[in-house]
Amino acid sequence: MAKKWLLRLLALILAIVLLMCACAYLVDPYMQYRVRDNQYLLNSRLVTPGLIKNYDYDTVLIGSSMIQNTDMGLFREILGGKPLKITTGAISLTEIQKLTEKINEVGKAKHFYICLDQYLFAPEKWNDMDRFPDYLLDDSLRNDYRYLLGYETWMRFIPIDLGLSAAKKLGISLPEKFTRAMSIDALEDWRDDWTFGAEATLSLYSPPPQGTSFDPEATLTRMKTRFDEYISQLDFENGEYTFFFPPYSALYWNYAREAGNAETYLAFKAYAEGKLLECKNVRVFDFQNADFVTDLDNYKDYTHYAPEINDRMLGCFSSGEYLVTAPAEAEALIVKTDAQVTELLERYPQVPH
Amino acid sequence: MVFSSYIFLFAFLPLVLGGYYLLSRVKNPLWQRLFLIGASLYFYGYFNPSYLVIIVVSILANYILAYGMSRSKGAAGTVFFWLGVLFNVGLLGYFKYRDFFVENINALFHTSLILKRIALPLGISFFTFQQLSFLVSIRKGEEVLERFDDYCIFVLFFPQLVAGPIVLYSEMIPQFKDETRRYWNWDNAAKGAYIFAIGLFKKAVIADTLALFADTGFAASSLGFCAAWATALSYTFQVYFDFSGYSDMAVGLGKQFNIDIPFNFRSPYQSESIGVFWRRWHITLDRALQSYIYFPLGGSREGKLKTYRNLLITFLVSGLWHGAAWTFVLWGALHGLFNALERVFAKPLSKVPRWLRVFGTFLIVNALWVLFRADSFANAAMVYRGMADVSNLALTQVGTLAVDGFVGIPVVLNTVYVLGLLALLAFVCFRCENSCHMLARFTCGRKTRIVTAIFFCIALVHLSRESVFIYFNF
Repeated sequence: MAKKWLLRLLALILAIVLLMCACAYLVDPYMQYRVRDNQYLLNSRLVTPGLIKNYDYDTVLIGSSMIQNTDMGLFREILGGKPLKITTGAISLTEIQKLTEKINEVGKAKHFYICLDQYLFAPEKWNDMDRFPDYLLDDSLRNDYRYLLGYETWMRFIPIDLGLSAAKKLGISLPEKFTRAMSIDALEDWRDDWTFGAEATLSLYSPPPQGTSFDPEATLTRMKTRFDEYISQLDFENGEYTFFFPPYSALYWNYAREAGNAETYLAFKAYAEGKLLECKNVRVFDFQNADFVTDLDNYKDYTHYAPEINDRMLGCFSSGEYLVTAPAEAEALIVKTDAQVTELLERYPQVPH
Repeated sequence: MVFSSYIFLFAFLPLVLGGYYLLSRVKNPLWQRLFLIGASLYFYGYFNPSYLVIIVVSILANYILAYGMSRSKGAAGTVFFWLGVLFNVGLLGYFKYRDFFVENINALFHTSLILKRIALPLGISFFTFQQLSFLVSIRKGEEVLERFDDYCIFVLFFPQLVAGPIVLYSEMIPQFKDETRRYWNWDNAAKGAYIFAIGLFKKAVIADTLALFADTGFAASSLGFCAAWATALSYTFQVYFDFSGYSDMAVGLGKQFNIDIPFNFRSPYQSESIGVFWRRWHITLDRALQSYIYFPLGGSREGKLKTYRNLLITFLVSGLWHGAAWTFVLWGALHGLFNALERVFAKPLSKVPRWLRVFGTFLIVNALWVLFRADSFANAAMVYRGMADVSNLALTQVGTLAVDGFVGIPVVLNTVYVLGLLALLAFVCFRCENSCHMLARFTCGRKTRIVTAIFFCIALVHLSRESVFIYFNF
């Protein structure tokens, strides 16, 4: 009796597990086996590995929240090609490196647009890989059980995705917020979640905390080392690379100046620009001294800009505006940035400094 | 290694069971035992192999001292015994209490002695306490020291190694020596699978889900009334389902090896007093504390005042055993105090309806778990403030306890989810049968098979958010 019970139990468990795997394979919420646009709720951290493997692209736009509001339709219109956004919020350098390695391995991308946030290279220690789904990035079938029987797969995305599909089939129109969250082009687009404008930006601003220690020399050395390591991973012979420093507002540089790290970050930028311009097939854009960075109406906080700025940056990639043609001197960058901070403080005297 | 992990379920356990019963074909049972000792050492050293040195040294030292005790008479035996006490208390003191002691010295005398920040070896409180209790039993003549492999299996048997139950030599070794228990037994295997699946579900599905609510609540800077109560209740249920889930799994694994491991829980939240609560919660610890602390102090035989004193001391030890922090000490002391107060007011309390006493006991236990979980007194005070803040009855913060950052589920839905889950678990804890009753009534029918399969498969889905058991830290 017990023998039969136990053997039948094992058979039942096996049958349920296989059924669940088949169901997860068919729904495929993270697009590990096929791409389905505008059907499922997308989480960038979970779907990006699948998109790299299965999406039809020849161009990648890699970066943090700074690129998330990029209008990919406009991208196609202005710059051509078949672009794919590679992003997660507060993406780390390790994540970028892992994803870039995979993009190179897949070999579809010929054009790379890479956002160089200074923060990527600075942290002493970044506990960033806890939630990185390594098992989604490789091609091994052996660890696919972690996806097919995964907690997020079954307790989050499959129920939601099946619900969304059912709603669609029943002709229920979903709010725009949902439909945007299902579009690959609009991956992590956050434009509707925030209010842009000087008032909102200033209300979110507070000066840096006092008494925090910052070692400029050690930080600069660390940033340079990491940057060198990062660019050594890139295959400049077989692709066209466009790097850009995103247009943080002058308010950010005011903050950085008060925190004591502005000069270090600008010295790093001068170093990085110099290094990149030595490489083949590389263009570098520096938007950090653009004319619009002193106008806080373009921002929602001291770094994040409005979608119109993303649009404008696309235009610049095409026209060559803000293209760096010769390596900058750190001193010159500091003088330029200081001037912009001064202009900002005159324009917004309420900024605490 | 954690029971609720892929590596344990799909590699370690099948291989060990296979190897163990394959060796049952060898006439000499020593090979089976050696195999199980080796597997248990691998299980223990899986996270950190350096811990193996500690446990091996602890076993060797205790065995040598126990050997010395059993071979010596009079003063020499006493010397060996106290050396054993010193060794075990010293081991625990060094790894568990050293930094706590140094921190307090530094605070009291404004010194700056260096903290070692030693990582607490897995389950050190359990295996040290178990071995210490063995030495006491040898001294009392209740146990007889036998072969070294017997002793090793008593300490190392992996189902109960890192978080109990705290077993007695006399309840384990005769089972390992029973020739009939050496062979695969379908009945025990079926019962074991059933109770293991229940335990796995309790831990991986219920406790780990509640962990998110409790962790978010305790990490907040302030909580409103509803969110504070939801946080406290989440932890109250989490700690129960976590630890009783582990204990169920231990019982289930024991069954797979034809070994009966004692149950550690009997519906503790249905207790009508703190005293009864401790006879139903972590039963084997309570048994050990009674035997080795409370009774030697005189128990309840030397008058009321001494009984209260003995209760307080026993619960202070219990608090310190659970953790090296003043929050644990106070938690233990308050349990002792409530236990003593129940005795003082026994008569009037007996007139209170049972359901009200159960409810009151639950409220006290729930409130004290806050102290147990909190990182500091300030953290506990934050939750207590919220629980008392009737001016802030907003429900919305309850929903934020369930936010995990993956999907932006509306707060209203999350609120319903948190409150619904807590209500369901309250029902389970107060009205449903506990695991030992379920096991006692187990029959090999279709219903139990489907329940086992569903519990196992749902738990399997939850394994990808692997976590350790709360009591691994003790």
